Amino acid sequence: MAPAFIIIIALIFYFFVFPDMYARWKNRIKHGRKPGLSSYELDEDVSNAQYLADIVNTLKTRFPWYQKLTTAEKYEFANRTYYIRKSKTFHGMEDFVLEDKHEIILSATLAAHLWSEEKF
Amino acid sequence: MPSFELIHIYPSTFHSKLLEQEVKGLTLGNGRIFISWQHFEEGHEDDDDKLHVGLHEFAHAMMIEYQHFQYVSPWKKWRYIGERMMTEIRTQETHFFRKYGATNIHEMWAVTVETFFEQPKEFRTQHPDFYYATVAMLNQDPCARMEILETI
Repeated sequence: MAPAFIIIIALIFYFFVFPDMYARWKNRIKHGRKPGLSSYELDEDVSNAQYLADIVNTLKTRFPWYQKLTTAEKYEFANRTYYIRKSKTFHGMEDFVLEDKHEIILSATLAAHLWSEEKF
Repeated sequence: MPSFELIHIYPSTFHSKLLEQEVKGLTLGNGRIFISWQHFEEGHEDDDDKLHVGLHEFAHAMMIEYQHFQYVSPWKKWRYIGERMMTEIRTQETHFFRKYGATNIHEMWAVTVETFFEQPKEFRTQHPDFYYATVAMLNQDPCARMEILETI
């Protein structure tokens, strides 16, 4: 009875608990963040600070969803928008002149869509 | 969504060789999203018309990213209700969800995501079970958020 119970517990850990722990750990390494507020921008240089400031300014004026967030959530949302914008490549097609606002609003839309996902 | 690295933005509708027609947006399994900025902006400016090409294409991308949700546990319930909705849309003259949602389960998912973000309260009132199935899928509840903010 006891060995069977131990085997069942071991199987549960092997198939369910460990893969989940590994995925969380991998995600944390990949994005350099713990659950909750991001902090990866704190040691960024000035140009990246400006890049983040541009995002915040565009979110304030062009993204109503941002206004519905608390202060802490706004901080997190701006960081996510920043990360998504950095991680995507945007191409203007058929002579479309791509501006910062296009990249920011598209990135913010994706950030809103994936708001509750750890892996965004 | 790390698999989707490239976002192509067209000024307006564009021709899809794959579909052989003019389209407002397109998401491909090779990690590319194509969007008409004109239609994206129209949907973005009017934030409660249940039309948003950006949310629509990102919903498709999410579905591809997560392997058509085959390992996402709330999907089974969502799909069951979604297919019921598709039948309703096909048979009823007017419906809360637009006709395009009845095309297939992929479009139903994308149309639902648009509605979820643009008219969450109406969605919850008219189809509460489907709303909460979508909450489970996206792991967020816009109505609850709005209610909390209204009390502050």
